[in-house]
Amino acid sequence: MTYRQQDIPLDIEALYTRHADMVYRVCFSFLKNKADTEDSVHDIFMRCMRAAPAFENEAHEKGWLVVTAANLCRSRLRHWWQKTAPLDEAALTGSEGMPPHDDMLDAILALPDRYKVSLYLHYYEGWPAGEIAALLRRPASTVRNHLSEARRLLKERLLKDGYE
Amino acid sequence: MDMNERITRALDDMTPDHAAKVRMHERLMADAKAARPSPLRPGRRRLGIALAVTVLFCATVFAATQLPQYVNWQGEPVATPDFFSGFSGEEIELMEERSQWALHASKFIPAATSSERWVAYRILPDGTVDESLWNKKAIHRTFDSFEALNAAIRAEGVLLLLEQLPPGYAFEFAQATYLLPRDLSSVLLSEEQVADDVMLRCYAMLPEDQFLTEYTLALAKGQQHLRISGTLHRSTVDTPEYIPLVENNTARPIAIEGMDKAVIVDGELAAWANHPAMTTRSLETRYRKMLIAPGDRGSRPWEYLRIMDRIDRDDPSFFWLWSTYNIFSANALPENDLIALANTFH
Repeated sequence: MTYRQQDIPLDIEALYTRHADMVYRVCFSFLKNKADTEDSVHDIFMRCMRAAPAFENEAHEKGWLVVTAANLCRSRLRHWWQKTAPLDEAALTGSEGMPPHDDMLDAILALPDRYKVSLYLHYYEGWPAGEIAALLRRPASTVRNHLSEARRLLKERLLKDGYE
Repeated sequence: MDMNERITRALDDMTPDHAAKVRMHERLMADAKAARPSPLRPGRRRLGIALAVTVLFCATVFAATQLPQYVNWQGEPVATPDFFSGFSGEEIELMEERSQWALHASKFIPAATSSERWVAYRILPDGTVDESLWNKKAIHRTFDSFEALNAAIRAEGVLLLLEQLPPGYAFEFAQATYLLPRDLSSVLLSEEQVADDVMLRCYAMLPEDQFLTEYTLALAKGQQHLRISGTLHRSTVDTPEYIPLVENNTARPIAIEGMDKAVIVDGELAAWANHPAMTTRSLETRYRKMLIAPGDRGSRPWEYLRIMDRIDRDDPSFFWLWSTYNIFSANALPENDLIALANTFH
């Protein structure tokens, strides 16, 4: 794969094709409903198109999108209407907000937000703690603690719900 | 299954389904196109100002990335449309400024609920609310069957749809866009200043406030895929209409019963995402372009004549109203079958 030089326009469609699933999963882990997740995915790719960052490699590209997704979702969650006027999605879309899933997904969605990016990158994308730490600009020990704490919370929650 | 596998599988459950990916892709491509810098003035971002010309986008999941060429309803190549022709530099500056504000304001507009909807208004530097500049979000609804979409469209009585599912085709998904007019039947519930230049007003959502102006229907039969869409258009001037083609597409005019115009487009698509390369055939057709006089209710429900936002109750302008329909077939449907399908729009 070749990466973009600064004077070559960003191919937003190719970027979407490569990373839409990843960005969607990250956003969904924060927002927990399809409608807000779709809006956020859209905003993130539009933001990328406007910022037109010069990605050095695939990891840089993924990292930029994951960090932007997490920041945008946190910002959305803080916004006042998320607290005062939740979307009546069933009435508007006639579809369920959640995909078919088991208890583990509920447990992941219930995790504190600060653990979610590390959890996703480590378990789904296979990134080692050191690389996640570099991306998030945190000490590697913090990332390892987050992963360990996330696992503990998931286990606790599943045991509480009767998972063996 | 161990803990790690279970976590990975749960994260995988968050992967968007095909319909969601298609929706996001189409929306992104439409907005990305509108937000790209204009070749007229490099370096300055302009948002789409489709007042001077109308481009009929053949909305498809397989949207090509090549620069489009354009044809008219006769299938003849035409020069690339100049979206800014007929406007003075001052007018373009003003449109650009208003578009920038609308984009900025959109960040503050919540999605409508079943009982409330929001409209953002510009606040001028002197603190007064500029009632002439505002922005709002449309509602997108999905339907879980052809019958449900059909019922919604027939209830409105404006757009056309196929009479029934073509034989052998299965329903995949359907979505419709509803416009929420700014000022019809509005009951103001509250208002709040959410930025220096944005006033957000919340209105009661009434059933009569929503107008179905666009739909997409996806059908499949084995390797055959059909995407059918309908769109309502309105313009105060008799705009030229352009049909975009991508490289190697060919277009020619055809006749469809009950329609003003129609072209059929043959092409090929390179592989995209999970889709292999394939041949395509699509049909674009226009239904009854009518000039509506001020106060003329025409043959369509009156509310539809006012929904395109800039029409105020006392607006003295004449305007044009029409709808277009596109049937896109991947793994090209035979031409006669495509035409037969289009003949059943009603």
